Amino acid sequence: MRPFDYLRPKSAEEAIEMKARLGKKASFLAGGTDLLVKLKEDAVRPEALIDLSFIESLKEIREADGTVAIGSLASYADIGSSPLIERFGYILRQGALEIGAPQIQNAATIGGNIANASPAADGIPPIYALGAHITLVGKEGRRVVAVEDFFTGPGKTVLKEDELIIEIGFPKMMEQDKGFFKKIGQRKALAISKASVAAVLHIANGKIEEARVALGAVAPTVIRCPKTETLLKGRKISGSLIEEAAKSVSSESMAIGDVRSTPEYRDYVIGVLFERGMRNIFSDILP
Amino acid sequence: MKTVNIEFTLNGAKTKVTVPANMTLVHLLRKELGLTGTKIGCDKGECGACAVLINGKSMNSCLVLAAQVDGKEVTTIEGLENEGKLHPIQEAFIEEGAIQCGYCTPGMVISAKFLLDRNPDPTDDEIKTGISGNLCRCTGYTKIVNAVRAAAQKLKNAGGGGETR
Repeated sequence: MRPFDYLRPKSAEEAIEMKARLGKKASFLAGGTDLLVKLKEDAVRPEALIDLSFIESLKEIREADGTVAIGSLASYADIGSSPLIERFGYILRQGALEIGAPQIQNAATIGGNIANASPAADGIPPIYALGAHITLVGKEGRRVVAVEDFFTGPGKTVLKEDELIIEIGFPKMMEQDKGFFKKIGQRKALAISKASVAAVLHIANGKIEEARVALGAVAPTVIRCPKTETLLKGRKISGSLIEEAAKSVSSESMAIGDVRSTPEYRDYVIGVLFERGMRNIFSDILP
Repeated sequence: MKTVNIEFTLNGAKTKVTVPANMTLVHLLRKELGLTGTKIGCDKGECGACAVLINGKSMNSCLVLAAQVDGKEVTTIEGLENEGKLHPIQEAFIEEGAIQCGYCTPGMVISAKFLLDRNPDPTDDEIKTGISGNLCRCTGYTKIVNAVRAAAQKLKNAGGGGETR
């Protein structure tokens, strides 16, 4: 690694002030599981690192009227073991436990995962399906951005140079809500997703009142599936509806080929993952 | 600052050092402090050979800056034995023959410790998930899983698997 200055702010305010002063020359360091690899490979060359890992207030996971807020420095292990997440956002827990391995989950943070903006990140489809918002704070103040509006391409976001991701908030999943996260990789463990899918369905009187379906690793960013969501809305759960929706999910996938998979396989398998997820959560009412 | 003064607890002992900002924890441990039990495999967080416990949580020390352990507690493989007696997890690895070339062993033992501290009675699937971040290129996984299962039993017989050191 090239030499760099090491700065250790004690608060988010101090971190933002440092970043505003240093601009592009500085990078924020959160869990380090991606940044240190990039530093070693000389893929990024910051003159200074602003280490956020000592800011305890950014690690909290709390609830506030109808929502859950996750501090950006919460690790995926914190998220995976949080009773609040288990109760009100368990699909994010399912995603968190698929990330890397225990050592990675202990270090990697949700804020870092979001800032890196990999379309294959397993933490991101769940927050799309949960309808999350991301709170950013910079020199000019605070703004809240819907997760769909945050990512603009692989590795690209609307984050400004002096802005820090503070927290990720989402409306609580209620008892009548159902959801899942499913992924497929080269191996069961420690594998980057070839394709992943997350869904949250609001159920009322045996019908789907609202659906949010998000796909990972099959487009330049994680994407929602508007056609599939419309198709599901107002319908009664049945095996044939699930098959129809799975085909629709495949048609909304816009996969490319790379070292991990081909576009044909990704577009196909994402429908299979969706169908499996749906059959799991509705196993009590399906034949 | 291009160098950082840090003070941390290493295997129970207070340690004060000045480190270059760009030094990783694994290099501090091995090259500066002579604790070569922690191995470097891939040096990019894939293989788990460099796993250590930081405040009781397993992490890959190749992806942690030395500066980041300031004020924390670090336990390496050398810190598991107690007055010359191996930790029950280490004993189990030897007894079950869960060692071939040995390069992955320190990381495997650290991951097993992290698992058993939280889950004293894991299923085989939970053991496999627990060591999923550690690669054994001799592919001796069957015996490693057996060793972790045996270690859980040893710890239970010794009166609970809790935070023993």
